[in-house]
Amino acid sequence: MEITKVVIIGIIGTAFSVMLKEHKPQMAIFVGLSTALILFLMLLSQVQYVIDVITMTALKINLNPEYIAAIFRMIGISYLVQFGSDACRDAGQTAIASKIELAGKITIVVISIPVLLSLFNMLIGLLP
Amino acid sequence: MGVDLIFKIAAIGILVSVLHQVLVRAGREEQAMLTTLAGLVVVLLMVIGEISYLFETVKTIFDL
Repeated sequence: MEITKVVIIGIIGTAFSVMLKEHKPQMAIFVGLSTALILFLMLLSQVQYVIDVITMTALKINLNPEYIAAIFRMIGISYLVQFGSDACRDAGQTAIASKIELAGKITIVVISIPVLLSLFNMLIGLLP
Repeated sequence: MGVDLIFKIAAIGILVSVLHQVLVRAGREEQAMLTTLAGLVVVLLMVIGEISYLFETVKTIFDL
């Protein structure tokens, strides 16, 4: 995946956004958002490759696939939350951005609960 | 959609700002505000479609 392509697209998007910011700040927000969106879409194919490799190796050493799925779910949530909160922060709404991040943290904690429970059960089992 | 989405939105933005200036100079503030609103709605619809596509992709990749 050509990293130069990503950088060039980012710079072009920034240029358009700055150009529009003076007359039409609303449009500048959308230009910035769409540039971030396109760059994110370009990266997803790479992420898919990494995930397949990791799940393959994890299955080979017969880890519990449910834990791996939980980990990837957390990563996905953090990507989405990062995308949303940055978009809001770009538009100047830091309060909304922090609320989105808070929601993301809570969702991640909720997802990690079953993993924690099984860990505790295992620990309790080890105790004499 | 790809890269031309950025250029499309930038073009709409420039067009709307020019139209806004022309209409304001011509003394028609209401029409100017309406054209800005229309431009915003068009851009919003385009971006919303792309964002929903992105979220679907992320959901399938990370099976959220």
